[in-house]
Amino acid sequence: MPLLSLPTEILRQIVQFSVPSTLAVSSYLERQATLCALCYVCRRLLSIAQPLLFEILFTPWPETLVKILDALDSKGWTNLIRQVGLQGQFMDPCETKLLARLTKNSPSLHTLALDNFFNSEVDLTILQSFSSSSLLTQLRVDD
Amino acid sequence: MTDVLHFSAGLATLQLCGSGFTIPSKLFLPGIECLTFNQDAVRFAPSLLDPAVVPSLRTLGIVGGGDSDTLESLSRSRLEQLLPQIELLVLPCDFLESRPTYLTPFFDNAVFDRYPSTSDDLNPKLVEVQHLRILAVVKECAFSEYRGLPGLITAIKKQKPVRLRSICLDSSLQDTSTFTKRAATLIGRLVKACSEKGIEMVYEQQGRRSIELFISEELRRKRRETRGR
Repeated sequence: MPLLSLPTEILRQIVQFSVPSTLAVSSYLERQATLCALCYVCRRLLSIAQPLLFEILFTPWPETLVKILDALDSKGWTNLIRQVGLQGQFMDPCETKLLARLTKNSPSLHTLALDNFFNSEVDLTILQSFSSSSLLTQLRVDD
Repeated sequence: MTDVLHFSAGLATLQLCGSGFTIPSKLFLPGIECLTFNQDAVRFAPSLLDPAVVPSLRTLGIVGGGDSDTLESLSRSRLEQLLPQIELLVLPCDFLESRPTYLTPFFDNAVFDRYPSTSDDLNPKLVEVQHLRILAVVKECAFSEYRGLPGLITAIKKQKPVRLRSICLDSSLQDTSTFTKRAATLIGRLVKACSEKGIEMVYEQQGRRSIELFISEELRRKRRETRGR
């Protein structure tokens, strides 16, 4: 059976399992290179591999994160980011706002490695947002 | 009228490095299962290590440090109440000297981190632990980084009865075919000594930069498997 004749969801799982998914720089580069290569194969693999490029992010520079979030916004893609390694300088209040924007764009974020490199003031109230956005829903069920 | 609470997977793994963080007083992170601090961030332990803040915590890592400031921060937290539910505890080997009373009952299940290059001398207490993780020895490193290993190999060979149950190494050390001869020989001697004593070798992709995970999924999976036996 040709690979591309498989249902999209199965194909997506094959692609997902064929690339590393750990928050490590070396495997991240391998992951992104493989996904980029798949994007060039055909439109169908492009539609599967391209969103996966945003699942794991290493962003040593805040400007990079801005570009990534802008790209996601332009495509109307939300809920894609799963793991983030962020080495922030956080000298500028705009960068702290960036964290809030990340929170808003990433309700499915499950792993966050945060290096406050210059020991600037970073309010971790944002963590509450990561949890409360998807974690707790209270339903009132009437008898 | 009934209230039904629904929990789903949210932020599950959090690693903090550096200081300067501000922690709100009423933080509640019910999804956090893995929490790691480096030596600078451990000062926030009193705010975060609390069953009321991280009720689902299963993995805790204190990476680097291990000095009196680290101990003081931990003693001001409510770690003691969290310890019974923690499945994987990663601690600096300095704790083997200081032996905080509330932590020692959990030493047998803890993984102790050791940077071999920090000293030629082997801490004799190191082979008394059950699980050891060797950090900063990777394929690309200089041979000087290996300098603590010969002492460890000798201690393993001499150990009777054997206390060590597992040694964790970086996954780049799994295939030594491209190593220099002396590095390959040393790793080979360590693997052989462990094999003879029934000590399990665990390989994980170790984080080398502060934005990489210090506690790998491999290590967590291995611990779950070990506990399941």
